[in-house]
Amino acid sequence: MVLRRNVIRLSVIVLLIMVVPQTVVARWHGGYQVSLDGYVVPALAYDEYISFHGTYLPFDLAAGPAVHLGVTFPTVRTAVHTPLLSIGAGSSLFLIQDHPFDRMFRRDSALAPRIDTYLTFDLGSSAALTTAVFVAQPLTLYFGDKVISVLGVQLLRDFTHDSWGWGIRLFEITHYLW
Amino acid sequence: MGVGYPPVRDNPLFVVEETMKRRIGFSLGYLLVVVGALSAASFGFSFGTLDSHPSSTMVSEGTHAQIGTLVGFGSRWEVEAFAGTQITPEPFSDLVGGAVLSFALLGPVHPHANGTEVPSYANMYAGLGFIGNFPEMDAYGPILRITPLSVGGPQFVMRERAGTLGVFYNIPMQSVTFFWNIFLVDFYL
Repeated sequence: MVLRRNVIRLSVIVLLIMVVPQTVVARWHGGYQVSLDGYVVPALAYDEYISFHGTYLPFDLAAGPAVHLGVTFPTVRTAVHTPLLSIGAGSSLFLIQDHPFDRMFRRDSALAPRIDTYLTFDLGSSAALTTAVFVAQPLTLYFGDKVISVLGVQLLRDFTHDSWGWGIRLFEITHYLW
Repeated sequence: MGVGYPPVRDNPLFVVEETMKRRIGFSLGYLLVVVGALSAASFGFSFGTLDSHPSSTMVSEGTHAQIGTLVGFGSRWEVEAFAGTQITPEPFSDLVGGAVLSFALLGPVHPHANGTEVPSYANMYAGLGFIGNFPEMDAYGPILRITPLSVGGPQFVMRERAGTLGVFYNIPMQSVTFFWNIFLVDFYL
C-alpha cells in the first residue's frame, strides 16, 4: 500500500518535472509580422508598401527558422498596383547577447541578424509570380516575444520584366503570440 | 541662355525669401534651445516613416524615413525637431524639416521633478508645429498633428508611436493636405 502510494507520488513528480518546464520556458511558435518597404523595380510602385504576415517557427529554437504567409500592398493605393500574396522563409543567423545597443533598452535584448526570402504573387489579375525578394537585416533586435528590425537591404528579381532591382525594408516588427 | 536677365540673387523677391528662410530656421533653433533649457528635460531621438498625400508638393513619390530629436519638459510637453528624406527610389533626394510642440492627452509621460505623478505607459498626443521642404521651400506651413496610439516613454527608455496623422496648411499653395507617420520609435538617452 505504501509502495503504491509512493509510486503514485513519484509519478506525479515526474509528470510535473516533464510538463512544467515545457509550459514555462516553451519557445514562441507563431505570431504576426508587419513590415514597411520601398522598392526600386519595374513591377512595383515607388510608393511605400506595407506587409502583414502570419509567421510560424516550426522548431524549438530561439529566433530560429520561420515561414511567413501574408499580403503586401502600397500604403497609397494606385489603380495599377494591386495587392500581392507573399510567401517566405528565413532565419536569424546568430544571437549576440552583449551588443552595442543593449543599454538603449530596458528589456533584455540580443542582436540577431537575419535573412529571409519571399515570393510575391499578383492578386489582381493572373496570380502570376511577380518578384522574388531576398532580405538581409543586420540590425535585428530580439526581445523574446518581439523582434524589431530596421533598415534591411533587399535584392529583388522581377519576373514580369526579367530584371533585377533593390529595396529597403524600413521596419519589420514581429510579435509572437503563442 | 539667360541673356538679358539679371542674376537671380539680385532679384528683390529672392532677397526677401532668403531672409524669411533664415528667420524660420532661427526661430526653430531658438525654440528648441529655450525649451530644452527650461528644465531638466528628457532627451531622446526618433526614427520612423514619413508619408504625405500625393496632392501635396512637400515630398515626391517613394518611401521616406524620418529622424528627429525629442526634448520633454514638464510632465506632458515635448518638442520634436525632425527631418525626413527619401529612401527609395532616390536616397536623400528630398529633404523635409520641421518642429512640433506636443501635449500628452491621457496623462503625464515625463517623470516630473516633484515625483507626485506616475507616467502613463499608453498615451495619445496632440501637437502644433511648422514643416517645410528644403532647400526649395516651395511647400511650408503650420501643421496640426495627432498621435492616437503611443506606448512607452522615458522611464521605459523606448517609446513606439503608431498612426500619427498631420494636417498641413501649405502657405505657398494655400491648400490643406495630410501627412502621416505609420510608425515612429523613440529612444531616450
